[in-house]
Amino acid sequence: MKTRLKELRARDGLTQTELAKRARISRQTVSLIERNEYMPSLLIAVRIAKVFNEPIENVFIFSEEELS
Amino acid sequence: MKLLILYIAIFLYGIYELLSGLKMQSFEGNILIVSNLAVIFCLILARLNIWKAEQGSLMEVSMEEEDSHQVSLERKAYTAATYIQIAMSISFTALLIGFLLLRDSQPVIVFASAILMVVSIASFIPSEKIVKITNPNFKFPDPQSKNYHEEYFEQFDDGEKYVMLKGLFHLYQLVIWGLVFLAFGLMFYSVFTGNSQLVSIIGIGALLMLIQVSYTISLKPGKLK
Repeated sequence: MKTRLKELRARDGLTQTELAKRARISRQTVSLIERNEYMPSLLIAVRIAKVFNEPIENVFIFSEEELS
Repeated sequence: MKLLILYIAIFLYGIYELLSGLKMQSFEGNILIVSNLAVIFCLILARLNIWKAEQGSLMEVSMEEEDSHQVSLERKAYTAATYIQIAMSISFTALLIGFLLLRDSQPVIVFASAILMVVSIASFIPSEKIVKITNPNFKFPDPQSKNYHEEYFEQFDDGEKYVMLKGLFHLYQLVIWGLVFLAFGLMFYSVFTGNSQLVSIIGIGALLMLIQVSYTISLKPGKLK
């Protein structure tokens, strides 16, 4: 899974702390997701996508191999 | 900062006491004074890191630097927690050994270890200032709550729980192997010195069983309703 978190944060001018605050999660979790060390739960993924006002599949991108 | 200065003053006084009575005290007494000094030194390092984290949190940094600044503050807070845990462990061990060996001859050293253990435990109670740095969204549950521990755990999000789980899994393996090697070590020690450690070996065996059984039971699927 790839995430566009860093790119979207840069687009919206958000720091990890600010994104964490808006998504009601910890900064550590944001950092883990960005480093691809943790695949977020559905609830966290939805909250993050909501912050960026993007559909969830535009934030977290799965390869065909992962989905098949 | 006041507490930090107090710890440094006590540390310096402790070194003075150690050096002035070095030849008069027993070997065990000197070792336990050094242990107590190590505890104070750890508490000084912990306080220093807490102070640095608190000062750092007051600094204003640019947006580009904010993430790395936040990470460095969190690292300082966790370093402080690590030093407090080391202080707690050393003071606990020093208290037990001191009580065994020096309770009649040098009770003051044992008393000092006991005080240092209480101070270490008190230092470990998370201060709101530090928690605001490491986990700004964290809300302490009501201390009167019957489900305090469950509510406390639920304050962590899934990412933090994942990190905790990974850490605990490594710790589980470390504890199991540590206990196995310790039991073997005690067996050889008993054989070669004639100083039986039977009770310790039985205690380790019981602990090993308890840890493994409780872990496996926690994995066991619940009955279907």
